[in-house]
Parts: sequence; structure tokens; C-alpha cells
Amino acid sequence: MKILLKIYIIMMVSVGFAQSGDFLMPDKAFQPYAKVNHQAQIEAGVVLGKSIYLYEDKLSVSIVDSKDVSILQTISPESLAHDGDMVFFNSADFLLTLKKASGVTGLKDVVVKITYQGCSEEGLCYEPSEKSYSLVVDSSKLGVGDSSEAFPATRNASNEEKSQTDSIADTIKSGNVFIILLTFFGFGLLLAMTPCVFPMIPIISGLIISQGKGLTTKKAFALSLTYVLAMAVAYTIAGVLAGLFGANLQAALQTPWVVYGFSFVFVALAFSMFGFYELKLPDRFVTKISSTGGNSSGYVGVAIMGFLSALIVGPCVAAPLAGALVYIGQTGDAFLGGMALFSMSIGMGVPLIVVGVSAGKFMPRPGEWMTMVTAIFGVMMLGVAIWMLEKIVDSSITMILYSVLGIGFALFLGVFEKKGHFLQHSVAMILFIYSVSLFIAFLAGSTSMTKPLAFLNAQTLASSTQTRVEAKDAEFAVVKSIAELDALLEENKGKKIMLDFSADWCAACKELEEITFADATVKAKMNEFVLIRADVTENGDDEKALSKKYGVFGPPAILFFDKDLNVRKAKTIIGFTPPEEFLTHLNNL
Amino acid sequence: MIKKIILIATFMSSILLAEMNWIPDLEDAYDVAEKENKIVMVMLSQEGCPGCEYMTDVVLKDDDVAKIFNRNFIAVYLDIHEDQVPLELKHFGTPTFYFLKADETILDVTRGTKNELDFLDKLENVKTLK
Repeated sequence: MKILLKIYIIMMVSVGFAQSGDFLMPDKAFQPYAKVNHQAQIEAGVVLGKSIYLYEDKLSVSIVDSKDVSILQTISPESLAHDGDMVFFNSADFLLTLKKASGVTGLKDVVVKITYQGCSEEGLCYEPSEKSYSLVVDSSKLGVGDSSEAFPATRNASNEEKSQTDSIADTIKSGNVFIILLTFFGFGLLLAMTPCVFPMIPIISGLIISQGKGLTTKKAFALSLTYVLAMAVAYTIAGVLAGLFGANLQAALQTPWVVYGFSFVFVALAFSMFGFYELKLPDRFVTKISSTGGNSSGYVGVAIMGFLSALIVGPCVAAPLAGALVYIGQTGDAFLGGMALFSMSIGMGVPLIVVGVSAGKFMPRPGEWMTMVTAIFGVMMLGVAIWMLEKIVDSSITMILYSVLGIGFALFLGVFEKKGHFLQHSVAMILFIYSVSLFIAFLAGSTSMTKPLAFLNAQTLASSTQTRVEAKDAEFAVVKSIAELDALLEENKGKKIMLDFSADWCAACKELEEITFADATVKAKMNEFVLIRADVTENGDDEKALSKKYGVFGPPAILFFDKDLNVRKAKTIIGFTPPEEFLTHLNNL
Repeated sequence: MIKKIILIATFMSSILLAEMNWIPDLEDAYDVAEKENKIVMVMLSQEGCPGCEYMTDVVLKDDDVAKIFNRNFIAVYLDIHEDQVPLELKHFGTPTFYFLKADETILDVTRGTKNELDFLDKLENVKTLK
């Protein structure tokens, strides 16, 4: 008997707390919606209750019976990793752009179906649900499209909860397909003007034309076009492959060291552009491939040459091309990858066609401006490297990096020098001023890229500096295991102790930190406590044991200890609590 | 001496038996509960429910929980999508635990996860309702 009693007493002394058991009813936990906006797009999604999250792979928004009206493009929300699953917190919002079948006119009935399944962080998983909405869409506002040709779903950074995403990166990330294709086309054009490709154009053009017998403009055009298209096929295949492999790497791209790796790749590519070293295929391959191309004749020969030229890949082209492929890999979208690379190769091929047709009349002369083009590429590479870091690094750090890059490039453009073209000077000066303002913003603690000097606004001056200064005050001692925690508890026995279970992937934890813990009065009150944070981000064995011991199923959870190091079960807080409520709670301890 | 031996024997056997026994069929469970004068606990669960896994793999595997449980309760595990769940056992999420007498009257219901200590409290409370 005594042994059993002892065991039971030990258990009583060890900690636990009451789960509230009050869960949101499904209709409060999930509030789906669907409506049509003025551009005849459908805005649909699910608004989520406190501590509620939806599984990404169980969420779908679709149109039922899409004969007349169907989906052209879906912009999906950004998901977060949570316990090994990709989920949405707070809300999941979709934007559907529609298209109609040809011959469809007038107002059309559209039924939107939303299916979803989610759980509460407090330990309950709801059953899968679905909701359908009957909407009316004005088909005169829609474009016509073959229902088999839907653009692939793209990601929208609307639920970004880490750092402020500036609108420039948003445009790139939001995947407005047309803009991306246009950008790659321009990219291709620029590539054609790099120092290694450009002088080759008349030569290649000459070679192409010498393949055909008889020389009409039409024939020259046809030959050049064949070359360019064949080259495009090679690059497109590369683009598709990049997209396919990228899709598998999506999850890996969440991990910090992978992002650092890719960022480093871009920096290395940039330095290649700046001339520190060269990137190219070994000469053996280059000569082998060129000789293979030279043997055939006519259109076939030209096509082969075109295809192989993509493989030869001169030193200047290698770097930006690799960069483009990595970027495509990041989007994980094979179709987009193929199309983007196709646009790029067309861009590269345009000068060639122009030369081929004009017999050399329209070509601008090579010159120093070509080094400028290479330099621009190098700067772009560095810009992309910094942009990739934004996912995992504090936005103030990326801001200072952009600032340094901008200042460096402005200096390179000769912002303070007397010589140089007027246009170059203006661009350099504007860039310089903007970069300097970013620098100042960094020093002032602002993190906005689009409004770096907003802190100068008189109304925000007082409060923002105040919260900035006080944001430094709420210091938590971080623990990750029972041993570490026990040590800290022993050290601080007799004092008021607050233990906060938190994790990087926990949205409500971020809210607590940024809203509740940042509040001035709350912070002042918190100074009366010994603040300990249990960081369960990694969820390894230590963290799991720690969570289990205190009965924490999922963060956030805030526990309070009394003078004898017992947990005051009734005072435990689960989930996000706004500042006023939290303050009242602290005052009532 | 005899008393000590009996005490040790029961102690050891209760430790050895500290594993949850799940009965697959609800009807069978009622029969067993009738015979052994125990309470039926129905755990409603579904796939992709981390809270359910926490309860079955952590809390219900706890020795103390299992011991009290096996002495007073019968456990039935039902998947709300795969199995037939009686209409009376209303649920909007999982895990949901229903405690019933052998004559199928509902004694208590609890939703969501509980740690070992709180689950034990629950079992103690429900035990008294018998």
C-alpha cells in the first residue's frame, strides 16, 4: 500500500493543469464565405476562430459544374508548417479568376464549393465540412478560354506573419504570370547583350544563313527563327525540369540552411558576373558539341545548332541562367518554369532574328555599355540572394543589406563623379538616395521597404519609439528541456514565475509576442515575474517530454508557478490573449 | 505473511496488466461491462487528429491511467468515418469521450485532450457516477 501511495503522491506533486474543455462550436470555429467582386473574380475562403487551424491538403475551393464558367487561375494563401503539416491560421483566403466558354453571355449562376478540415490547438479536431455558395457572375467581364487550359495555382503572400513583405517582392511572388513571362523575355533580351553573347550574333547569323542555299529575306528569317526555336526548346526543357525538382524541394526550402545555400549560390553567380571568375562548360564539351552541329545542313542543321547552342552556354549566360532556374525551382511550378524559360529564349533570340533579317544593318555597336549589362546582372543576383534570406532572417537585416547593395551600385554608376551620361547619373542618384533612406530607417528601427522614413511622422514618433525601446524589456530565459527548466525553477524558487510555451511555427505565439507582450503596461507588470520561455520549435525528445510533463498539447500556453514551484493550474492561459485581458489576469494572481 | 504475498501478487499483476484493452465492438463492450460491472468508455476518433494520437499513445498508455481504467472501465475505439457511431453519441470533433453504463445510458462526455492527471480526475469522477 505504502508504495502505491508514494507513487500517487509523487504524481500529485508533479504538474498538470486543466484543459479548458470549452471548444468553439464548428460554426464559430470555421466561417466559410464566398462572394463575387467588381472584377467578376470570386473571393472565397474560411475565417477561423481563435486557436483554430485548417489543414492545407484538406482545403479546396472549386466550381461545381464548370461548363460555362470555370477557373482560369487560383491565387492560394500561404501556409505554415505546424507539427509536420502545412496549415492556415486566422483565415485562408482564395482569389479565383474566372473564364467563360466561348458563346457564353449574360449573368451566369456559379456554384462555389469549399471543403475543409481543421483542428483547435487546444486539442480537438473537427470533422471535415463543406459549404456551397450560389453566386451570380457577369460573364461579360470574363475572358474566353478553353476549359482545359487552366493556369496553375499560384501562391499569394497574404498570410505572411513573420515580417512585413514589401509590395515589390509581392508582385514577383504573387505570380502574375504575364508579368513573369514579360520579365523573362526582357531577361533574355538583356542576356543577348552580354559581352560574350553579343559579338557572336553576327557570326552565328552568318553561319545560319550559309546553311541555306539561296538567300531571300523570308528564308533568312525562317532559318533564324528555326535556330531560335530550337534553342528555346532546350531552355524550356531546362525550365520544366527546374520546376519539377523545385516542387519536391518546397518543404526543404522552409529550412534555414537550404535557404542560406541557395542565397549563397546567387551570391556566387553574382561574383561571376562581376568578373572574379568564370563559369562555363569545360572546353572539351564545347568543341565537341560545336563540331557535331556543323555537319548537317539546311533547316535540320540550323535546328540542331540552335538546340546545342543552349548547351554550350557561354560564361556570361551561365550565371543568369542558373539563377533563373533556381528561381523557377523555388516556385515549384514546372509549367510556369517551361513558359518562363521559353520567353527568355525568345528574348535571347530576337536580336538574332533581327540581324538575320536585316543582314547586319540594325545592330548597335559593342562597347563599354556591355560591361554595364553584366554588372546589372550581378547586382540583380545579389538582390535575389537578399530576397531569399527574407524568409528566415529578420527584416531589418535584409533592409540593411539592400541598402548596402544600393549604395554600392550607385557608387559604381558614378553618382558622385562628373563624367557619365545624364540618365545614368539620375538613376544613380535616385538609387543612392533611396538606399541611404533605407540605411537611416535601419538605424531608426523601421522595417518597411516602401515607407522607410515613416517613423518621422510626428504622430507615430512618440508611440513607435516608446514601443521600440520597451520591446527590449520583455526578456525571457529560454529552455528546451525538463532539466534546463528545473534548474531555472530551483534558482528562482520563492519568486513569481511565468512559463511561456512557444514555437517559431506557432502563429498565436507570435501574436502574443507582438501584441500582448509588447504592450507597455503588460510589460511593466511582467517585470514582476521571472520570465521563462519553453521553446518547443524543434519538437525533439526533450521538447516533447517537457510538453508532456506540463500537459501542453500545443503552444501557446502560459503557466504560473507559486512559491513552492507548484503550477497554479487554474491560472494557466492557453492560446492568444489580448493585452487588457492578460493584464487583468496578471493582476489577479 | 500471507497478506504480504497477496499484496505483492496483486500489485505485480496490476502493473503487468497496466495496458489498455480496447474492445472492437460496442455491443460486446456493453456485454462485458454488464458482466464485470464496469463503465464503457467510447473514444471517438478520426484520421489526421493529433489530439487523438496524444490520448491513445501517451495518456492512455500511462500506467496509472491504465490501472484505474482497467479496474473500472471498458474501452471502445470508434472512427467516426469508418465505424457505425450510434446517433446518441453526438460529436462535432475528436477526440470525444463518452462514458456509458452497461444499459447504454450516458453518464458523461468530455471533449478534446487531457493530460494524465486530469484524465485520472475525470475517471475518478465518472467512477462515482456508476
